[in-house]
Amino acid sequence: MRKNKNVSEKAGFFTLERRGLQPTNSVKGLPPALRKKKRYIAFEVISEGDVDGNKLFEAIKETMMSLFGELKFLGLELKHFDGKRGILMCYRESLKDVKFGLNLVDSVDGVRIAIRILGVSGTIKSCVRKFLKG
Amino acid sequence: MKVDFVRFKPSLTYDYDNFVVFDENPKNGEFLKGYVVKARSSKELLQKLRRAKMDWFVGVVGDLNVLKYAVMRWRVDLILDFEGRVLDYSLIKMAREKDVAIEFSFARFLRCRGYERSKLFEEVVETLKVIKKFDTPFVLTSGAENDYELRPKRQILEFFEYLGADVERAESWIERLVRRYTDPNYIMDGLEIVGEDP
Repeated sequence: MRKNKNVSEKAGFFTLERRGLQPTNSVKGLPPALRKKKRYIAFEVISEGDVDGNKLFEAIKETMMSLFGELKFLGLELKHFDGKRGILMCYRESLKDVKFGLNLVDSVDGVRIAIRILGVSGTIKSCVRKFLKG
Repeated sequence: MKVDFVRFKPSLTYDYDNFVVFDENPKNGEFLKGYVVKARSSKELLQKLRRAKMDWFVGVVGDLNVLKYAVMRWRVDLILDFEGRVLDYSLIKMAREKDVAIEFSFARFLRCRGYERSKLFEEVVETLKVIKKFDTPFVLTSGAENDYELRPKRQILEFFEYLGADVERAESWIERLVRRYTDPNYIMDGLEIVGEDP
């Protein structure tokens, strides 16, 4: 059984909070070749005031639902958010759709925001190293 | 060169080299000046065009008849993107012949929701297909009226690429348009001053 690695311990400067994790309904125990390939999008939120991670994720989900509907599952999970910057996971196939949709998220709970995409990576560790360090 | 066309003086600059700030009364400042001509008739358009100074980018806002008239004027650089803009097949073809660019702004998508946004998507996708057919000049901008509508260049280009725009072509058109006003050595496409006569 694979242990959950604590990226924050190795990264040192960056605390990874397991907020907003949604248990997936996909088949368990798939071999690597059949598993869904994921991508991690590092982003920054520009806002007037503080933004809560859960509410941000709700706003992202709402925008994606209105754009793509129920039939298209994008594999979204908010892996981390510290109030300013965060990491959003999605399936590799839906990366373009998610990046398209993120542009259209313009408010969270009445607070105006703009999401700036810092970059995309295949793992959380490399995402943190390349885009969120400093 | 990364330039964006906006409707306000931005405080965030992201990865842009410069901004063209469009206003009905352009003021001096650190950014390039854009002159918005809002006209309800061709007569009003002509009157307002006379005010345009030589270093101003001129963008037109108006109904279909005004836009068709505006495209024929040499002083007009582009047709701005605004709420309720109507472009037809013949206008896009004329814009190609008269070298007038058509603006697509990202901010319009933020200002509507649901069915209206869906109609806007359809309109933009169809217009981009016609523009591609004639190779009409077009520019992809944020069209922001405040800092929250502003996005980095790469995000704007990826957004419109998803809708079927040829982003490389758009970048070449915007560069050409900006060079006309900012590069003193630029005369026209393929003709520029490279050095002084020894």
